[in-house]
Amino acid sequence: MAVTQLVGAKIHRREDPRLITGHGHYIDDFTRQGAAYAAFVRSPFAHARIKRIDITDASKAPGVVGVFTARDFKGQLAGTHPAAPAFVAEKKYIPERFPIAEKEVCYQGEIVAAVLADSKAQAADAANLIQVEYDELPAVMDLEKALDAKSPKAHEGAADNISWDLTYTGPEVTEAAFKEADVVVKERILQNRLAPVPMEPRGVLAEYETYDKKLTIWMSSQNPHFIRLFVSGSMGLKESQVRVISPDVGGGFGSKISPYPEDYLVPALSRLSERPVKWIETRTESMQNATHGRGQFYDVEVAAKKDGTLLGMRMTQYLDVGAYCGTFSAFQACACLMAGGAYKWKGISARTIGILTNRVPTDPYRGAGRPEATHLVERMVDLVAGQLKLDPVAIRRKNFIQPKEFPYTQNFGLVVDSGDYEKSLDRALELAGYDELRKKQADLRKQGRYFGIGLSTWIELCGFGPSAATAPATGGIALVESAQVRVTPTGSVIVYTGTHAHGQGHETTFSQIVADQLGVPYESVELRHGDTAEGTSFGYGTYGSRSLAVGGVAVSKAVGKVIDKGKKLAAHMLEAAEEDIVFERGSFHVKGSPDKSKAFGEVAFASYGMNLPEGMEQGLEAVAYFDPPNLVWPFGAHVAVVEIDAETGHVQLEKYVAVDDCGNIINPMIVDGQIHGGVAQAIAQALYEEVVYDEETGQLKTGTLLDYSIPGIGEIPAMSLDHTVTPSPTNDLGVKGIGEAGTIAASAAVINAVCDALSPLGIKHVDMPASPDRLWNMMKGARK
Amino acid sequence: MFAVQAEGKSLTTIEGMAKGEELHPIQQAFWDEHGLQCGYCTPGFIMAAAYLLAQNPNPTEDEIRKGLEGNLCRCTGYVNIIKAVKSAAQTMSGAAGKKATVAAGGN
Repeated sequence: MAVTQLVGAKIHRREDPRLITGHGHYIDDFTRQGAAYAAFVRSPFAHARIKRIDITDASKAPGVVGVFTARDFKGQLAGTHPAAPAFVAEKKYIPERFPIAEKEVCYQGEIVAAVLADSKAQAADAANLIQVEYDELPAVMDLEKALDAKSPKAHEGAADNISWDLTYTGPEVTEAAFKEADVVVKERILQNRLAPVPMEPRGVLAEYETYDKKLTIWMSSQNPHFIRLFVSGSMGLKESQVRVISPDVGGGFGSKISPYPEDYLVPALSRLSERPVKWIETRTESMQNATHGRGQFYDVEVAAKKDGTLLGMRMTQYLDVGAYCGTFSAFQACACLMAGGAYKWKGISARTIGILTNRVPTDPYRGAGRPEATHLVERMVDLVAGQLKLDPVAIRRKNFIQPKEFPYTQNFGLVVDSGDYEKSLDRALELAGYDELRKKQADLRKQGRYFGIGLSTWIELCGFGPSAATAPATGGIALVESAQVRVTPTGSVIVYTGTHAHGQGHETTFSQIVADQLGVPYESVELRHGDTAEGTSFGYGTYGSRSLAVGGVAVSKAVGKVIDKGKKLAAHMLEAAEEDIVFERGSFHVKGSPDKSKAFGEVAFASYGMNLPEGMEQGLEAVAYFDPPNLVWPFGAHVAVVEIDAETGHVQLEKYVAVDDCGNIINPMIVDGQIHGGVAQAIAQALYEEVVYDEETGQLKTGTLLDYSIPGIGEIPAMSLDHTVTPSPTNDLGVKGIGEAGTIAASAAVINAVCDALSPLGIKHVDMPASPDRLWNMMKGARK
Repeated sequence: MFAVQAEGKSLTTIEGMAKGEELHPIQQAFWDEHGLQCGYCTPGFIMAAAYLLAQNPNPTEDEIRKGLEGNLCRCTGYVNIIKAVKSAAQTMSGAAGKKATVAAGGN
């Protein structure tokens, strides 16, 4: 693609004027005439049998339109919660899940009743009057104990608590590597359970028009077309009867991909009550009900030679599925496939076990499987380096996949498209002043101070994805992307994409691409998304850093089709042969005669007229679907520098350097913003955040933002960023993805720095979050 | 504060910051410095920054962090919010040129 003035430039976001003036449209800004408000009664127990629900008082409360329990929804909603078999071929057990519990509740927060009232306050008050009698059952909380055949079950009557158990590659593939090894390093690595915490919680407003039999749903979603697919199916409606509109989305981070119980219940309530129905999630509902991420531990062994050559890895992922299998829960098993990181291995043995517990389900959260893989391999490489007394830089250089080896087929048969890992590492070390930092560390250690430097030379696979890989993984629908480009008679360009955005600025970046390719003013291009009634018949949503690498490329292909038609028409207008027409900078001209030309706008206008070549239909618009031939593979190198307070165990991030490579960059300002936010979310995991449940009762202890500490402005350090540019050969734009990169990279850098700081105490590994409490105890123990 | 505490007081909300099409310098700075992504927290940050700059027209990075510690953002990692507030402070005090080096952010 020709890079002209827009692609690659810092273009101000066109989303911003409405957002900085208070004119954004988030879900709670919408209402409908005559709307009723829903409130849900949720289980206070992690696991219990429902004995009786008494709705007498609630039904008589002021303003109440109706009180509804599971029975009322039986004729409204059919089927069970969708769960894609992504990445895990052999699904063992997916518990049935109806959006509202009838006999058994399996996590604290599961819905047992719904109240509709004229106002939000009346609905909330009436919900408090519903009496539910429960028989409490034992809660399954501990992953290892849950695997024991004698363990209580997360679902009564289930054979076991195993949702899946899949061995990708058995121990035989690493036998030779471990035989040859001089050292074997073992570790158990925890992945703390995290809450995505988008600043805007979820919300649903639904209006079922009884006489037209049409349903409109306004909701905060990353994935409106999938919601239409699932909800229409469950409600017995055709997709054409349902319209899903997702307006400005106040953050998602993966928690707004999959459908939720309320996404079915609120539309069903509208159909039952013949009124529009609105529900907005409270923060506590969000903490106890929106899907969580991570919640895993890994047992890992790495075999290496004395000189630091990595030979083999054996790893098992133990993943807390939660009480039900999330729609894309099994995607998190991709941590196994990515466990080798940026390095060459003779063999990797990998197994994943998905374990059912009585917690809220886990599902993709920013990075989903790939942060876990990076954390695991980057920690293990440091542990090997520590054992062999090698510098962490040296061991990485020794084992990197080399630039000339791309495309590189890794241990699981995935083909890494392009990379230059040493280049980004070199730049990161330079920016950080690595050698100086090591000198400073030596000095500070003499003073008894705990100063550490941590690296993460991360890689990622994203841009989901090729139909051959994704259609079997979702149960049939390939995660390709669609686009439509419509040119009006006066040359306005309206672009529709099946992706959506929740802060990524697609209205800006996609328009940059189109304006450049068509050579038209940026202002004449408009991007539309998030409404299933517009654009192509299906869209695939935004997650997995796929919007640009799949959706942007689909847009580019649709533009190509528009240009192709324009060439035919221009040839006719200029009385030249089509193959002699060149399109450049918004103008069609005859090869060799730039003065014989027609501007794009002239051709657009002509396309709606009468003087067309024989057989050509009026209009100038095109639809394209892009099925990427491969995934894309961003990479980079991060350096974290920390000092740990010897008295309190508090970690001070002194410096953070990130050099990332996402291929060609459309808008560097937005790319940097994505890195900042991604790194912040990984720092959050490394140092601050953890969803905590009571291990006995299954009560959520971190149900508010006072208890669940997302970082504030005082916790995230300044960052120095830079980029290398290694275009992807997979798509015409040469782009990769950047939405998740920071989160995939940074927890390993921070924890490696923490471990490096504490190494004089003989501490080799620290789990997350590396809170003052955890570190203080470890330091105290080590000093004894 | 509770609404009743505001009785008889004058309140400015995000909707009152721009004069017609002309953005308030803090809004402009958030736009220029990419101080927002999803935008949900942005009105809160802009108003908190307005209060901070009214109290302290030329805050240091530390003072900005302390002044805005009551607000949360999940998208930006705060890096560009700090940049935006520094830049707005400069514009509002009309002191272009004596800008301190901005440590945060790339490029």
